[in-house]
Order: sequence, then structure tokens, then C-alpha cells
Amino acid sequence: MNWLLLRSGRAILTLLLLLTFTFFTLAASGDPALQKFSPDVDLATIAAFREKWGLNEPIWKQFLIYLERLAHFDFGMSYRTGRPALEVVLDRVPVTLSLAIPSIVLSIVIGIPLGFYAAMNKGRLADRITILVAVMGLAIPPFLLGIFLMYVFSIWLGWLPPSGYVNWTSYIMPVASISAVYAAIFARFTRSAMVEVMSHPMIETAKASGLATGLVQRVHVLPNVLLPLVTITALEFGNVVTFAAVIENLFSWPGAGTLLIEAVAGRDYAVVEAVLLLTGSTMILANFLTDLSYGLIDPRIRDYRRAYRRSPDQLPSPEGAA
Amino acid sequence: MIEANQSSGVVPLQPLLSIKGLGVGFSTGTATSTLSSISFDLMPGEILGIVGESGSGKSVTCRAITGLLPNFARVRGEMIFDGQSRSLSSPRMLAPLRGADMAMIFQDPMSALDPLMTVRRHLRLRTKEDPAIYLRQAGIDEPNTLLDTYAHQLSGGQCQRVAIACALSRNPRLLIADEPTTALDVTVQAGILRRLKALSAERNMAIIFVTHDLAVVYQLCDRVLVMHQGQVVESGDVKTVLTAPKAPYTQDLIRAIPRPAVRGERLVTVPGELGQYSFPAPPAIAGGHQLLEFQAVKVQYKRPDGSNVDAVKDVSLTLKRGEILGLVGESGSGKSTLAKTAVGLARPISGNVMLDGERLDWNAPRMQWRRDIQYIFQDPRGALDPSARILSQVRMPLDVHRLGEASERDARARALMRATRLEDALFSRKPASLSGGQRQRATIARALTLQPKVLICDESVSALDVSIQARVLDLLMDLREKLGIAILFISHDLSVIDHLCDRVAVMRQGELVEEGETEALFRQPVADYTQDLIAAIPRLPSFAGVQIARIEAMA
Amino acid sequence: MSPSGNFPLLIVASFLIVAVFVLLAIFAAPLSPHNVADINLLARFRPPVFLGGTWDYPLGTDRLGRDMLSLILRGIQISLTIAAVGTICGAIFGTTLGLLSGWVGGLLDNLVGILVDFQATIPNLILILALVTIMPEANFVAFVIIMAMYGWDRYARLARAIALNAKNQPYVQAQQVIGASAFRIVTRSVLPNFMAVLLVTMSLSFPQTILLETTLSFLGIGIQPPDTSLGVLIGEGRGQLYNAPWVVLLPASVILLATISISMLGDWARDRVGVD
Repeated sequence: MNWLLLRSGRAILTLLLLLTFTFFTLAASGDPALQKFSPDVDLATIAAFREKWGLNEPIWKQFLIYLERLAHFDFGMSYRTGRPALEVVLDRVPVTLSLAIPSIVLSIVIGIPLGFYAAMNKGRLADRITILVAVMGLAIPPFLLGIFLMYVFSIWLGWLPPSGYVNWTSYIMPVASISAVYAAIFARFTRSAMVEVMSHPMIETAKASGLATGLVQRVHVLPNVLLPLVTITALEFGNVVTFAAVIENLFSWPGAGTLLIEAVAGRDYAVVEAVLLLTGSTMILANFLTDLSYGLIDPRIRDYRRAYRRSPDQLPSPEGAA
Repeated sequence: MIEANQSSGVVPLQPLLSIKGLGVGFSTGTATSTLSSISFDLMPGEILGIVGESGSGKSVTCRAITGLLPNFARVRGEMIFDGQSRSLSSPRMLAPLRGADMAMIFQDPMSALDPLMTVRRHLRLRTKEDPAIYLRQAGIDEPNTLLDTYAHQLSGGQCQRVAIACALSRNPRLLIADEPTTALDVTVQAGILRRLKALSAERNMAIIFVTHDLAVVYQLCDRVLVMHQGQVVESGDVKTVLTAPKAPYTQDLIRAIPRPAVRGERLVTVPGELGQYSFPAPPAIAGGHQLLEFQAVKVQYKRPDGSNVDAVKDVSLTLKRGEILGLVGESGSGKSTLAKTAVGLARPISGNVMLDGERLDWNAPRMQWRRDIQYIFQDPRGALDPSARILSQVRMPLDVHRLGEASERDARARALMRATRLEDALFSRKPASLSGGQRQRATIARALTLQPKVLICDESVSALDVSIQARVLDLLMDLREKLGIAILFISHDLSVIDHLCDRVAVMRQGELVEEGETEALFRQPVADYTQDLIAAIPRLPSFAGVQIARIEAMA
Repeated sequence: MSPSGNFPLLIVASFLIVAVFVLLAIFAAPLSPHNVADINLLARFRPPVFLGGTWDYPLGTDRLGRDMLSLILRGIQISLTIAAVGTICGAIFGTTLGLLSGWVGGLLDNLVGILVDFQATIPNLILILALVTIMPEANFVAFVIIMAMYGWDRYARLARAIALNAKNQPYVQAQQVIGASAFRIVTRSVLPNFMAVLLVTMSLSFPQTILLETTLSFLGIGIQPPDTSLGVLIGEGRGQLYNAPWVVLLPASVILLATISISMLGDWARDRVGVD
């Protein structure tokens, strides 16, 4: 069988699982008829509404109706604003991305070189300090860091605007709060991936045949560290976006995160569902693309995938040492 | 080449490499990983063997010379390379020598190459010349077909040859090889040894060859250094050291090597170690002569894509009562898979396995079969649960089969452990604190608790040092003699098979190639494959059953 | 690991801090000088002693005149309990599912695989927010269950890998040859060998669970007043950062001290055991 087909099947299955999850949480969030109408509406209107929206159908049929609705980008109405939920969310997405993208870029730019540096100096003071800082970074939630920054730079020193969007300096504290934590995550991860590659026998072999240390790092270490780094970047992207939501709330930014928290607190489920479906399907797609990129990086994975399509005799024996 | 001939003329040669008073200490390590005052000379074009058991310091010596020891190693001593003196204590001073002056290859050929890089690129990084030249020199006949492949597409032997080509590509005058053939099949090993010998002569390149195998040293080397616990216990001309060893340690080492000349005799112990423990009498011989019978057994494996591979193709084989049957084959021959059908770890898709005339059907297993056949694995570390104490693990079969009272089980387990020469102090330890030999004794003791009729030993001594291997082999012979246990002994090592077994079966790619009495099979092998296999065994001078000429230097 | 000494100073200090936190959580009520719920509107925004306050309220008071020390003790108790119960539930759930899927294989393995994929792909916080939305308000038990949802996939993946690997380990095969039942092998051999990994993973995810709880409570969608937790305290006090910073900064520092100490221990244990 074709690997690509299998992998796409898996992605679609995950998406279906997500849809099932949202469908059942939606059903559990309350009767849409009762949400839509005030209590004094007569029963006939409610019955007509139920008929129209298929609420009397068996559950599987309701699920199909739900899927059809989503296929037309109908994510329901936000009852707090009375506007379509998708529209409400999409309005706010640019603000969130303007926070999340610089944050992840900064985390990578700081974290990965720091991890490299620590691994190169494994066991020395620089390494131990990096690990210490990284462990502490992991233990500090972005919102706490944000509070401390806000106290020091806005209240105490009065240098930076404490909340909302004033000018570009408004970006400094929110981005710093997220990047500090994620730079720590990237540094820790890069360091352990590097240490693992550097303890691989091929590194000793390369040194033994006289290749210069810098060359060994460039041609052997970097490419081999790339694969785990691509993986973690894709995985953490979703988390950065969600923490951006929390940080938005702290700094009173008008982003999708603030919207989400308000929607959760106000039980505006259609909005929560729209956010969940948007981030979820983005992440499913991101993971799918990451997996595709493995084949470009690693010839072993390429061969393994090709083996799905090749005639069986060309495969190596699975037996190892019999 | 011409220069080499000139320099090997009448003029007394200056050594290419002199090591004086090399010592290594590890600030975190124990005494066993420490070297003290190693000194030796190496002439241009000479092949020096360094031989020793695990922990003897032979690998540390090589890494100290090439400056590849970790930072926390404390190195002392001096090296004179090509007339220039250098201190061994600073790895930075040694780094410039690597590549053009000395190169090194290692044990695990698969991981010596970068999995993301083609063979061509590996060589391109090192030389501007045509990479095919060096691949050909390393013994790859059609280098151009290999240039664009990756390590995972090559066999172990091919990988090691690529690694050799990489080492040769800067034309070093010294090649250091650390157990380069240990992980390879015997026929592949023979080819690589032959190639190294030829390369040394062609290029007047000196080689330091590190190995645990004395027979390999005899085949390849001019001189030998025997190391034990971080010290050189003996050195000299290969023939002299191996035929008339002076140091007691060397003598013990040579005595421990399994060989046909003492077939069926104890190597290092006196018979009857097991005598202290009164075993129940061997089960009376009843029923047929055949104890374990494989009848046209066929086993298939499923690949990830769902297609099937035949691992074992209609093999029939019989183990008689009280006999030791050797099962030989290289990796991928299906020998372990065949044996695993006898204990239900592999299921045949056709054919039968019969025990004492009864068909073993593992879809409806009987507990009695579990008691009658015991299986001993290769890696004694892996065969013991790392988190449980030795005593409880040896007792475990009795617990599973609910035999006797708890106190009786303990007593029986203790008695068997003593019988296999495990000291009482070890009983409450965990496997990690035992040596390899002790662990293998514990797995044997565990197998014996249920008084099996058949013992299957799957490469059970392959991971052990020679002296420990000898004790385990002696123990197996005792078991056969005292208890009448029949043993199916699986190994890739023909010397061990030749020494231990009554009969031998040879497998290749899932098929039975040849079967016969040990003596007959080793003296007059019929199948071509068996002949190749036997010709490839490295042998020691005075012990050789079939006289094989030493490998001569040839292009 | 550093070659010097088995117990670096920082680790000893972290251990002591964690021990103190556990004691504070257990004896929160007897140690509190005031009742947590006691409102004293005459004593609002009293500063802590070190900022010129009095010993009546050693750590000052909040906007309702409640004693900060008592509130923080109660917050430690609630936050640690929720994180501990959540972590343990997640570990048990994930480990069981992972061991089963690795050992049994086949369809079950595929199903668990898809579930793990799902959990790992969709950002946890958003998934949890969706659950919080439909959860009945201020339900402590439901909240703990949602906490357990966080990170179960990590245990499942590790346990599955261990079980798959164990099936090919000679020490497991040796027991199969002897005739030991699958239940015996999994509970007596596979699980004990997973324990070290499990404990390290738990100690690494414990601080993450604390952070999740405090984050949610801070946002006002976790623990609901009048009950309190460290996150609730920060959330309630965030408006007073100007005039009464201690109301926010004290519980914030307490959270940092706890999570950093536990993370240090977890990281140290990880290096010891060699888990990744």
C-alpha cells in the first residue's frame, strides 16, 4: 500500500475524531433550541425549529448534518454577539498571530543556538548554567512571567505600556513572556538531541579519520539534529498559540485568545468550538506536512516509505540476526 | 611502493611508532579501566595484534594513541611518531596526526557511517581523488554501484569496507583497527582480514589490530601484545607467543580456547563440578530414540507491507537423547527461528515439532512441554529481569508451575545456583551487579529448576569472554554427563561447535545445507557452503584440525 | 551529571523546599492564623510585615481584608492536591492504556494510537477549555478529571514503547518459555521496569499540571471562588498590582518556588535514570 495514502488516512481519522469530540461536546453544552429561544416561546415554534435543524433525527444522522454544516463553513452563531462564530473568531486571529509568530521565531532564534552552545560545552559551567536556566524556564508559566515583567517595567519603572496595544513597545512584554519559556524548551531539547548525535559512533569515526571538528559539526551533527528539531517545532507551535491566548488575556489584547477565554467563561460554545476546530485542523495539517518533510531529510524513512510500493523481494530481511 | 621497498632494505629500521610509558586513569572510573606503563614499538608496514578480554584496556590504548579519549581521562606517557616526539597527555597535540598519519576504524560498522549521507559524500569529505579508487582498495569490486547508496542499504561487511576506504583516503601510514570484524560473519571476516593484510604490504602501512580472538591474531599479525587488566603481560612474535606462551595468563587464555583437539574434554575445570548437588536421576529412557524432532518445519515472517518472507524452509532435524547437536549458520540463516518453534516463540506455518513422539501444538500448549524444553538466550544481561533479585528469578519457574512449598522452592533454587558455581553472596543481588559469566550461570540454573529433557542454547556463549565461555562450555558438558540432558547448541562460532558437539547441522538462508557427525563434517564437508565456512574459521597453529595455510600477503 | 558528589547542593535545597510544601499542604488549616473565609473590611490591603505591616496579618490582607497567609496556605493545599490527583490519575490511565496497547497489539493498539495522536496533535489547553465550557460550574471532581486528561498521552506512549520492547526482550521471552502468564509477566516484570521512567515522567509533569491549574484558575475558569487556589489568588488580585502588589506577587512567588523545585528534582532524576 502507498504510504502517503496511509498517512493521509491517519490525518483524516484524527480530524474525524476531533469533529466527533466537538459534536458531542456541542450536544453536551445544552439544547440549541432552548438556547436560541426565550422561555416564553410556544412549543410549536420549538418543534418547528427542531424539525428544521434535524434535532429529532437519530444521532448519527445529526452528526452527518453537523458535518455538512461545517463543510459550508457554518460554525453556528455566537449567542453573545449574534454573529456567525467563524467570523467572530477570524476577526481576532491576526492579532493572535502577530503575537505568536514573533514569539516562536524569537524562541527558536534564542533557544536553538543556546542548546548548541551548551552541548558543545557539555559538562562545563556554561552547559550547567544553560540547563539550570532551561529547567527554570520550563517551570515558569508565561502568565506569571508576564505579571512580574508588568510589575517591574510598567508599574515600578514605568517604561512600557501595561496593557492593550499602544505602539510597538506593547509587543515587548507579551513576546518576551512567551519566548523566554519556549526558548528554554528549545534549548533543552536541542541540547539533548545534540548530545545524542555527538555520542554516535560516526562522530568518533569522523574524528579518527582526521576531519576537523567544525566540519564534523557542520556535515554530521547539524543534519542529524534537524529531524528532531523540525518535529518539536511543529508540535510546539500549537502550544505557543495557546499560551499566546493566555498572555493576550493578561495584557488585555483584543486577540482570539481573549475572545476564547471570554467565550469559555460565558459558555458561548459555538465560539469555543470554532477556535478548537481551527487550531486543531491547522495542527493536523502541520503534523502531516512535518511527516512529509522527514522523507526529504532522512533516506532511511524515504526507503521505508518506498518499500510500501516496491515488490517485496527487494526489502531487507526483518530478521536481523537469526 | 618503491620507497617502501627501499626502506625495508638493509638499513636497520627506525620504528614508525614508539609508545613509552602510556598510562590512563579515569577520574570517575574504577581500577579496571586504568592503564599502567604500556610501551611498545611498531615498524613501518608491521601488523601488531593487541589481544585481551573485555576490560583489559586494549581499546583505551588505541584511543589514547589517537587522542580520542574523553576529556576526563588522565593520560600520561610519550609517543614518538616518525621520529617526532609528542606527549600523549594532550589530545590537541595528537589531533593533527589523525587522517594523513594515522586513521582508525571501529567495531560497529553500521554506525560508523552517517545515515543521512551517501558513500560518495563520505569519501568526498576526505579526498579530492576519485572515491572509487579507495573503495576498490578496501575490497569493493564494483565501487560505482555503491557510491550513491546509504549505510542502511549496505551489509555490515560493506559498511566496514566503506569505513576502511574512508580511513585509507588520506593515505595514513598507520591504521588502527578496533575489533573491526567482531560483529561480522566469519566468511565476511575472512575477506576483510585478507584485504587488510594485502593493504599493509601494498602501502607499507602499519596496522594495530585489536581483538579478543587469538586465532585472528595468528592469521593476520606479525607481532602480538597480550593485555590483561590494563597491563601488557606478554609481547613478541606471534608464533612464539601462541605456541610457547610464557606468561601464565597467556597460557590460561590459550587453554580456554575451544578446539577439536580436546573435543568433549573440559577446557578449564575438572569434570563433576555439579557433583556437589544431588540431582534426581535422569528420566529413564523410554519411548523412541528421537527426543526432539523438527519435521519439515516452515516459518514465515510478515513484512511491514504485509508480504511474507520464509525464514525457515521445510527443515527437518532430529535431536537424540543425551546428545549435543550443533546448529551452525551465519546471520539470517534462520537457525534461531527454527529453535524457537520448539518453545512456541515462533509458530511454524507447516510441519510439526515433536517432543518425545508428541506433537507440540502451541495453540493448545501443555504446561508439561514448558518444563521439558528450556531455552537459554544469547545475551545473559537481557535474559534476566533487571529489576528482580537473582534468587527470585531462578526460583520463578517453580513459582509459575507451583512445584513444592515456598521453602522447598527456595532451597532448590539455592542448591542449583551453588551447583552452577554461583556464590551465596550473589543470590540477593540484581543482575546489573553480576558479571556476564555469572549471569549466564544464573540463566542456566533457572533453566535447570524444572529438570528439562532438552536444553536449547541460542548463541549462549557468544557474548562471553574466552575464559568465561570455557567455564560455561565445561558446565554444559557436565550437564549432559550428569543429567543426560540433550542440548541443541546454536552458534555462529564453528570452533565452539567443533569442540562441544556430537553432531552438527549447517543452515543457510532458511535451508538445511548439511548434517553429520562433527568429526566427519569438519574433516570432509560435502556442501560448498560448509567448505567455505570451515575454510574461513581463523585457527591457531598447533590446534588446527584441518591445516589451513596462514593468509599470505596478496594483492 | 556533574562528576562531583551524588547530591548537588541545589538538589538538596529543592528537596527540602518540596518537603516543606508538602508539610504546609497537610497542616494548612492548623497553621493558618485566621479563617480563610473571614472577611474584615476594616483591614483591607494591609501590607505584609516586611513592608511595614503588623503581625496580625504577617503577609498582609487582600481587598476583602482576608489574611493572605491563610489564603496562601489554603491555596497551596488546593493547588498541590489537584495537581497530585490529576497527575496520578493521568499516569494510571495512560500507563494502563499504553501497556495494554503495546502488549496486545492489533486493533486495540491502532485505536489507542489514534487517541494518542489526537491528544498530542490538538493543543491541550484548547481541548481542556472546550471541556471546561460544557462542565457544570465550580465542580471540583470534574475539574480534577479534566486535569488528568492533560498529559496522559505521554505515559501511554512511553508505556506502549516499553511493552513493545519487552515483548522482544529475552527476559520476557524466557518467562514465556517457562509458561508464565501474560498477566504475571506484565505486572511483575514489565511494570517494575517501567517504574523508574514512570516516576521521572510524573515528577516532570507534576509542575506542568500545577501550572495548568493555576493558569486556568487565573483566567477565572478553573477553581471558582469562594474556594481558592494559588491561581485564583493571582487572578483576583491582578487588578491591584498597582496599589497592593503583594496580593499578586506573593502567591506568584510561591508557585514559582514550588514548580522550580519540583522541576529541578525531576530533571535530576531524569539524568539519573536516563529517560528522555
